[in-house]
Amino acid sequence: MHKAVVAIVDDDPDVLASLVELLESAGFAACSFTSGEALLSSGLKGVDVLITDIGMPGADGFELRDLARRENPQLPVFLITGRHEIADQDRARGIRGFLRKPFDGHALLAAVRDALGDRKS
Amino acid sequence: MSKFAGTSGVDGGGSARSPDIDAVQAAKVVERVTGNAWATDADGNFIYVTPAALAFFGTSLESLNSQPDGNTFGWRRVIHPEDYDAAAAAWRRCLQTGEHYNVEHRMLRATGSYGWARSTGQPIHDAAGTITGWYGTVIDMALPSRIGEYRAKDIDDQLADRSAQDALKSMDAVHPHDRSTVEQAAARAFFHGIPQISSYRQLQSDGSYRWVEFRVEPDYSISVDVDPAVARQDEPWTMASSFGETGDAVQAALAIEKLYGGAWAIDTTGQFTYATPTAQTSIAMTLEDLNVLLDGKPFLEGGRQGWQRGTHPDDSERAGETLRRALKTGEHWNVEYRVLRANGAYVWHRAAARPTRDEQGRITGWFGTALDIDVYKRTEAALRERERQLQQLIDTVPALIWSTMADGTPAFVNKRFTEVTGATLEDMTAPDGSPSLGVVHPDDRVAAREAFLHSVRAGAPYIRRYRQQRAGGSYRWTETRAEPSRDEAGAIVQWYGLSSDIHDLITTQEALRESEQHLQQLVETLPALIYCALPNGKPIYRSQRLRQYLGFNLEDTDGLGKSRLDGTLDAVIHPDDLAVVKERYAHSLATGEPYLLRHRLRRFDGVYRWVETRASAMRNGDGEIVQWNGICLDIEDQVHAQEELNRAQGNLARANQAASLAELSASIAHEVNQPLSAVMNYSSACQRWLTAEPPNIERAQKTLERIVHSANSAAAVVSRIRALFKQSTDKRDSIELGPVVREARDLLAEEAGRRRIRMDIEGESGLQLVPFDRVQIQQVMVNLMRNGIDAMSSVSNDRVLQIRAFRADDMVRIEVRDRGRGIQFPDKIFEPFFTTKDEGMGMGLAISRSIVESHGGQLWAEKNEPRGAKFVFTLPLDVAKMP
Repeated sequence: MHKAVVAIVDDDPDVLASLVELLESAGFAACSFTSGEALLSSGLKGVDVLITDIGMPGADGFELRDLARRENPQLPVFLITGRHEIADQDRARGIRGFLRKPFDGHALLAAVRDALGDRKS
Repeated sequence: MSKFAGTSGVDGGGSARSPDIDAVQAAKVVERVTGNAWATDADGNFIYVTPAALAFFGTSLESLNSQPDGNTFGWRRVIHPEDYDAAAAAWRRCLQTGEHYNVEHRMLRATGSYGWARSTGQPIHDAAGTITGWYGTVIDMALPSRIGEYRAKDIDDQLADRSAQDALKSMDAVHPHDRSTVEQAAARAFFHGIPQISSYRQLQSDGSYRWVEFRVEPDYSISVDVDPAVARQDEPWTMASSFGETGDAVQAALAIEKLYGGAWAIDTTGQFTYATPTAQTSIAMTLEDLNVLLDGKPFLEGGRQGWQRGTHPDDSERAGETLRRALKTGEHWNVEYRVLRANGAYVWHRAAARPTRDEQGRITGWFGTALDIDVYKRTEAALRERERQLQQLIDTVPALIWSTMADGTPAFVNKRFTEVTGATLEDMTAPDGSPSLGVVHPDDRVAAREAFLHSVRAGAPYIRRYRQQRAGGSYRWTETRAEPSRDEAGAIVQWYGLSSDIHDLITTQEALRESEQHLQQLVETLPALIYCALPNGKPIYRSQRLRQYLGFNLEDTDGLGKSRLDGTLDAVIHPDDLAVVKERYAHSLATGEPYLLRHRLRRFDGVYRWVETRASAMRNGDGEIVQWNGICLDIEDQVHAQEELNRAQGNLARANQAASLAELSASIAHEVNQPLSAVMNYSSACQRWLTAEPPNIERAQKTLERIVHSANSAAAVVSRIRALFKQSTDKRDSIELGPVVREARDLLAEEAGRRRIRMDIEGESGLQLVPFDRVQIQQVMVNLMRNGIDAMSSVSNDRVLQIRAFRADDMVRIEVRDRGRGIQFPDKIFEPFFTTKDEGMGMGLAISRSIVESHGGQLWAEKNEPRGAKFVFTLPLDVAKMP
């Protein structure tokens, strides 16, 4: 069984690196991108889970999610943001997989596993 | 018709006795010749005065006779005061002695002035020689009395070099019988102003008498020896042997003779029944000579009579024809003709004859006289010429000339007056004879008339401006002056007036006055406090509103021991403002620079109110200051409003700061959350590496290092924030602008990036500002930058926010340019609560502007090229610290 592939997008290199570290420590294969455009140009093929920051230059997290879902409607997507006012916005309310920085790494890993399990089941 | 009563005849014995008539009858005879006469009783009481004369003087017999103080004659009031005493003394003497009364005096005239007149009178005796009464007349001497200019002509050839004065120097040389004749001739010459010719017997050195003709001029007389011509008639004079029906006429002639020196009587056919010897001798004719029918045909039937030989050939026919007609019709005979003198010269005479009638009214005879009018004729002609010239002058002078009597009754207007005003003398005279001032505008007339009549009463010159009628019906402003003309005694004889057209002058003045009034009104009604001062600052004018505002006027601060300016300033300027007001005012006065200051001014009620005073110098053509004009606006309410606004703005600024703080804290949270989040991720990862089977110590070690790194990042964020707040408590620090701009950029970097906006920053280094509030300026920067970011949210590409900072003179100029859709309401965007956005209160720009201005800078918006908006603000540089 191959490792599940998690694509991570964040414009903050520290955050990006810490997420990669976290997911690799949990046995996932992490591939990181500093922008949505970079991810899209690389392609979503083989990506099992998408974790993306919301506030980014260029396509933001919401746009990226929508674009990814267009390609793979079943793709689990996690949105994370450091700006809590964005999390309070209407469009973010009630969405699953929405995380506010800082968050508990174990919780994220559990959520990713759940999403992968759901998809498999 | 007058008629002599009680005729007793005249005895034919060679001497005429005074006719036995009463004084009234005598006076009436005289009156018919001279126009006026009077009669008194033996005591001098008036019993008759020509009615017209009484009416003229407005008096009555009773009044003339009254003696208010027992010693003054009632006629005193018509005689000039200076002449009265002499006249009264003469009259008293005459009444006592029976001498002829013959006095020259000034007498009241119709004009209200005095004129010279000669009054003559003589007694009437009864048969016993007792004086029964007096009669006489008054002759106005207004006619030429100064005929000196003719003297030479008159005396040259014919009168040789005899001294006239000598001839009459003493009555001793005159035959006693002829003395009254000489006296009367002299008197006539005086009162008529007409030379008199008569003759008398003159005492010679050998004691004999010779007949001489003498001529009496008004102020001198001469005598000519005519004895050879008259000596042939031994009989002194002749009367007709019988008077026939001409008794009355002869008596009348005798009465006239007493006054005029010569008279005659003729019957109804023209035959002389009496002729005064002097009259006879002056023409060297006897009664017979006078009466002879020259061509054997009765005079009435057209025949020539002897007397006509004594007339000039050219006048003879006319004189005869007119007398003939008078005799036939009973008309008065008045004719002028030249009489042949004994010396061969022709002299103009005026002859007159009047009929006498019986009780049935039938003419019984004629009496008449002839007076020498030669000089008068010539004088009259000269006068007429002179008058004509004067008239011509008056009529051609380009002025309106008029005159009135002493009492103001209009007497004359010149031709031009009538041409210009369309009014004649009649139009100028009211029905009662007073001046109508009919050409004066109705609105001006009453006052002008009052003024003129006042001048007339007071004898004071008259000057008046009024609108005067023009012939076309229009009115023009006219100045009229009138001066009284006085006689030698100072009495006003006439008023002479001159009217000149001053319409253009007046209308110009009026326009000027109106303009002045208009300006004055303007100044007085402007809702401002206005004043004027001399170049040295001394106040010289305050508008009504300013006077009311202060409650006192210019002079009220004088006399306080200081200048009016200082006195005023001390009284009205708030003590806290006084020093600066004085300093600035003195500065303006010294330099001529405009004055502008806000200060508190004491109102009349003691309340100090804020005013803004502006004054500037008014200069003449040479650039010299002639006056300072100032205006003072009460800005108390504005000041209050401004204070209110400032307070509101302060509140809003705080509110905005709070809003900005929320923004800021969100940004800070984000900044802190990033490393925190990394720390937590690493922590979880590290835990996993350690708890893995087998533990991956190497990765855990590496992860721990990253935890430390991220934690340090968080600590850096925190210290940056701490630094930010620490700086904001130090108001106004002196740092370079560059770091402030960069920090602002950093604050917005995340947002700009998120919104895919590029921020380009360029700036000069070393821009050293005067101390400023860093947080506030940063706030302005952030505000403007965020506005720019927002403005570009709706454009799809070329989202660039440019920030530039560079020096412009002594200021730094900071520009924030976006490439959005530009500003739709450039005038409004700085107003509080104006917003084009869905969110926010629209306070950002208003507050930013107030911050910039409080730092001595300015903030405004411009259009950016090629599109978008450009917000620019300036801040003062600390030039001294600039490299």
